[in-house]
Amino acid sequence: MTDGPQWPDDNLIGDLINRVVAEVGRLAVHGTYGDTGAKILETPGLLSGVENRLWMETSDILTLSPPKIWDNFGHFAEVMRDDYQRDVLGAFTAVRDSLVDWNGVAAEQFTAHLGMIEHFARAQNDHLNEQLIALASAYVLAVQVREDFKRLVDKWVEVSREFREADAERRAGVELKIGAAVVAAVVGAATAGAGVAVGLLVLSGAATVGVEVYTPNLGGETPDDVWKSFQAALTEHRQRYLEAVDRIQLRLVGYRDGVSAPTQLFSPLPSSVDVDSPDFRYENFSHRGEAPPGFGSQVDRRRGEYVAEKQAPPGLISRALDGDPGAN
Amino acid sequence: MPDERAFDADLDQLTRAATVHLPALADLMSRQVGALSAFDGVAPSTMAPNVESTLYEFNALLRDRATTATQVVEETAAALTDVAALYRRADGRA
Repeated sequence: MTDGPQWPDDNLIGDLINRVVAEVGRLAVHGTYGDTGAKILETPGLLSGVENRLWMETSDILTLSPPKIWDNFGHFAEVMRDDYQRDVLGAFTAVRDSLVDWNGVAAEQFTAHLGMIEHFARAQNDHLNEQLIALASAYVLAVQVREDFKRLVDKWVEVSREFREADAERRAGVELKIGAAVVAAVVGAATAGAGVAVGLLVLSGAATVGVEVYTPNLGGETPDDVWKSFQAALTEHRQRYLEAVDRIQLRLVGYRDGVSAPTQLFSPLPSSVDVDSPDFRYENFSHRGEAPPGFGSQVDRRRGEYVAEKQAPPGLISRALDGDPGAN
Repeated sequence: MPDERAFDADLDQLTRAATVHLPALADLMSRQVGALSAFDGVAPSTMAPNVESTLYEFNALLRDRATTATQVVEETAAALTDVAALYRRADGRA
């Protein structure tokens, strides 16, 4: 089982470009000596021009990096796990349960405050999921555009070789998948079943197995036709990739604009729940059952004392433990 | 006769919520901050597609939210810890 990204580097892209350049060279020779009407292929400096152009065009389809997306997706592995979600839920349940037997305005405020945090946690989880869907879409697209480029080169070199060897017209289609449909398929797979937690490889497989293919035609009657068929297919491949990236961008803008700023998330806790405030009263946070006799008045009496002790400067030992050199 | 045992249990439970469960929740939220802070893009270093800058913006928003939420939970834990500590003192336990 693979435990790393597909296409860990782009060395193969360089090899594929070299194969195309070499085949163009053979076609050019064939065109010249075969007198089959080659025009483009007689251009001076053809091969270096072809190589430069191929690098420029392929740089447009290498804008997303599979290993980089893989690593960044992996950073979220811990917070995607079921036990993480279970721990968050468990903590909320434990805190909520602890407040059930306490009564009054302050206890209600605590409960309401906890409700806000819980609401936030759910929304934040949804947004994290959106982030992971965007990363998964980018990953699948980054892999698919490379896979398709390889298929395109492999098929074109095969067709071109057959054309040269037979010295006759050759045509063949190549099935490619890159396009906005890939993004839609990833989103569909990531929002179904176990969601993004299944990981990038599973999502990638689920999203691309059934996605619709398109079939550019390769080959032709002359060397020029054969070469032009590759250029046209590459242009369409690049265009479809860029449209798919735009689709991710559009989704991301929607995700981003749907997120509330952190300053709007929480109201501060009111002073009635703050022991440091004179507004704190036992009656605002009292036990629903029966507390020990005189407990309420004891709380109100002890509150000032407790706050004064909390606010007192730390003693020498505490300061020394905190690393204060003046305490030694 | 007052049901002191229920009170004791509830005060202990309140103390655990303040000193164990809420800090645990803050810790869980801070792990999101860690994951979001580690984000370093989706493109090779020589490229800067629009989708990457939007991802950075989205990621930063989520990171800032998680940071704020962590602080809020910590403050909530501190406030509840004070209540529980005061009640323990008033009950003669501290």
